Amino acid sequence: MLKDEALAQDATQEIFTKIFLNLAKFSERSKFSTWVYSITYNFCIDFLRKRKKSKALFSDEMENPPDIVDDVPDSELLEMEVVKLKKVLELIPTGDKAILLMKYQDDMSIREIAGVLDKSESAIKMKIKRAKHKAQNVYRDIFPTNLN
Amino acid sequence: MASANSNNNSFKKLEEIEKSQAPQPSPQTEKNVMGTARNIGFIGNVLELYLSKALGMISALFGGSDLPADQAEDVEDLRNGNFDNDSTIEPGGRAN
Repeated sequence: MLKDEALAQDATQEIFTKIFLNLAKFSERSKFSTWVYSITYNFCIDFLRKRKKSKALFSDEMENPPDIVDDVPDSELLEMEVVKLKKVLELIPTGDKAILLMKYQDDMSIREIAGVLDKSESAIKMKIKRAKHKAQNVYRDIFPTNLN
Repeated sequence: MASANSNNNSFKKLEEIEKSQAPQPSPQTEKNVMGTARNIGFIGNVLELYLSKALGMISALFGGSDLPADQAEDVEDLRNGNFDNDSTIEPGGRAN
């Protein structure tokens, strides 16, 4: 997420310290791994927000969010060539990338993602929809000859 | 929920490729994390075990007491030689 190894190592230290200091606040309402994930995710998002103040981290925070007409089928993303998927993930906003990784790489449920992002389940469904659209648009922009 | 089958999931394939290319976790990071945890634990122990006692001692030096107010009153009465107002014993001789 941070795209810098040194920054990621510093972040790891700070996140572990945060987890250690906040252990008493873990209420067992969610899985421990989800709680750790949410601390890590929020730390990275806060860090990125501080660094690039003007840039939106989710496509639905942009001035012109992508228009959603139809839902992009999962298969379009899941069956994308790995090299192309990597390129697409590099080019979409960091928040969109994170939410797609949570859903398709870490197999997290909508409820778990909602817990991590502290948002409602319907808001998460909309964010995923927009992230998929953004990924599809980026894919079509950079690989115009490979339209599925 | 997304399919967990990595054969059809490019995200899983990408994860496997990135895992194989990622450098090993830095031992220095682990050392630093453990050092920080030890320091925080030490400060916690100092606060819990010693600081409360030290504050109680300072309070006692200035004439305060670390006992609850009603117990402190009883102790003060005993110090002043006042043994009569023991309200815990009823006239019948039975303790409350």
